Amino acid sequence: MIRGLYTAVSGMVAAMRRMEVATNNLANVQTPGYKQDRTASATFGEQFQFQLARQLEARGPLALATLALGPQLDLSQGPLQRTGRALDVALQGPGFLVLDSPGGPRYTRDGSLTVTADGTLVTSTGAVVQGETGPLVLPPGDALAIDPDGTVRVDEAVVGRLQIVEFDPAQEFERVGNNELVPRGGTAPQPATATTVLQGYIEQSNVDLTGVLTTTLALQRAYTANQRAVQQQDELLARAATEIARPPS
Amino acid sequence: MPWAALRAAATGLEAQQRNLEVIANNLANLQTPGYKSQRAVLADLRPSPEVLGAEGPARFQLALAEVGRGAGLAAVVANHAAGPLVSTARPLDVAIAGEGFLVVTLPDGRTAYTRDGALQRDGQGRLVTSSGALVTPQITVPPDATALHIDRDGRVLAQLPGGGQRELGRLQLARFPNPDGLERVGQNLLVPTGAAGAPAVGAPGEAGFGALLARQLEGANVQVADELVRLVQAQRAYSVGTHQLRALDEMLQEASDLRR
Repeated sequence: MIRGLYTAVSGMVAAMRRMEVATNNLANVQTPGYKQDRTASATFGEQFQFQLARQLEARGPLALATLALGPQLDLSQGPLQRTGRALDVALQGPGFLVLDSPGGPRYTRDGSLTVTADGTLVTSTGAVVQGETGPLVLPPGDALAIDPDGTVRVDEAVVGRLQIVEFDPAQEFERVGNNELVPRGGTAPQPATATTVLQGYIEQSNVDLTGVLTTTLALQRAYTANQRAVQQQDELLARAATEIARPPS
Repeated sequence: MPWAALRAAATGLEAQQRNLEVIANNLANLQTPGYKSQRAVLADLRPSPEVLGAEGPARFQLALAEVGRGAGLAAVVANHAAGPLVSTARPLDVAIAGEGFLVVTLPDGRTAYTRDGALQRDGQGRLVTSSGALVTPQITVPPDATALHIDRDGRVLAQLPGGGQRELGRLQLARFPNPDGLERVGQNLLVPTGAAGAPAVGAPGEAGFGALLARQLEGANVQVADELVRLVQAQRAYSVGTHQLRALDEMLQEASDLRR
């Protein structure tokens, strides 16, 4: 009986946890190059086995509970939006732009680029964008062109080529903010083969508004259902405590 | 934990608010000569440090803090593409065909830059912008000039009563490595910040600088349809955000109703 109470509460906790992911996704519905997190729940048994394998202390069986899983990055392509801005680039395909950071390379799909005072190509938050031979410094000129293969030209003179890389599809990433990702385990990427660069476009977030709203509603109902289950069991326990043991009058 | 969700929802609404402000500003400046449309770039916020370390498949990591904390405004970038040219028939209207900003001096002595070429004469015959900032180098139109003309290379020519023509001076243009680094101070004027880089000053028509087209103005480069699409997207995102906030509130209410 008491176990049922915990099972229902685990459902509430898992729903709230997944709600956190849904709110974060929705907050980023207009964030260029953002990749949504998907969530799912797993039975306690599955998680328990994993934790056992990591030799964590067992705290007793609770086979019927559910737990929210860590969010999974959905790397599917976001829709492209035309901006007409010369320094906006969208990536079509699985590639990433490479950014320089003190802690090693970071990767982004947000191509809202700009330049620094000396003409170095940077992201809108100031991270230096890597070309194939180091940072790209744009000379003064009228026409900036970025070709589908990432070649950057100013007034037809080639300045360099954007470094575009691709990862193994199973690669997992960690978010570090500013639309930047870092691969888990420090995996080195391969040069891109299936990615094209589109100048004057931005890849929008792949968060789907309708999807988020539906998820929100479903999670809210799941939460309510589990809350009712807790209340029911509380009531049953109360009866067990006060009625079953009542001595015959 | 629920507070994290509430906070993320709040950051999302806040970010959409900023986004809407930028869109509204673009739409308000549809008729502003030389205006360059802007776009808010939103970025995700860094998740707080992880609790359980990073080994093992991510899908089994229970680290509570792994979820991002919402979104924020990262930057506002401008589109410096040329706007459409509009004929005006005013001799002192100039559009810059290509790169460069007109150089002006503000009343407080600072140098500012503009693409708004709707020039006029002040009380002393000096050329000023529509907001009254003095064009640099200073060009004074003699009171007896019967007609004015500005040529492609920026020379300001006055027709004199005797039939002669006199060159009053030559307009200059400046360009920056990073025009996004110019701060907008209103009245179509831009003031350089450290991020803009050192200006290169030259005459119109020289290599790297645009030519001047007299009797024309450069219109705003705002694309109304694009802005309206962004407006609708931002509005919808905002309204779904408020729905989500309400759902969270109701969930918390139910949690507090557990104990009857």
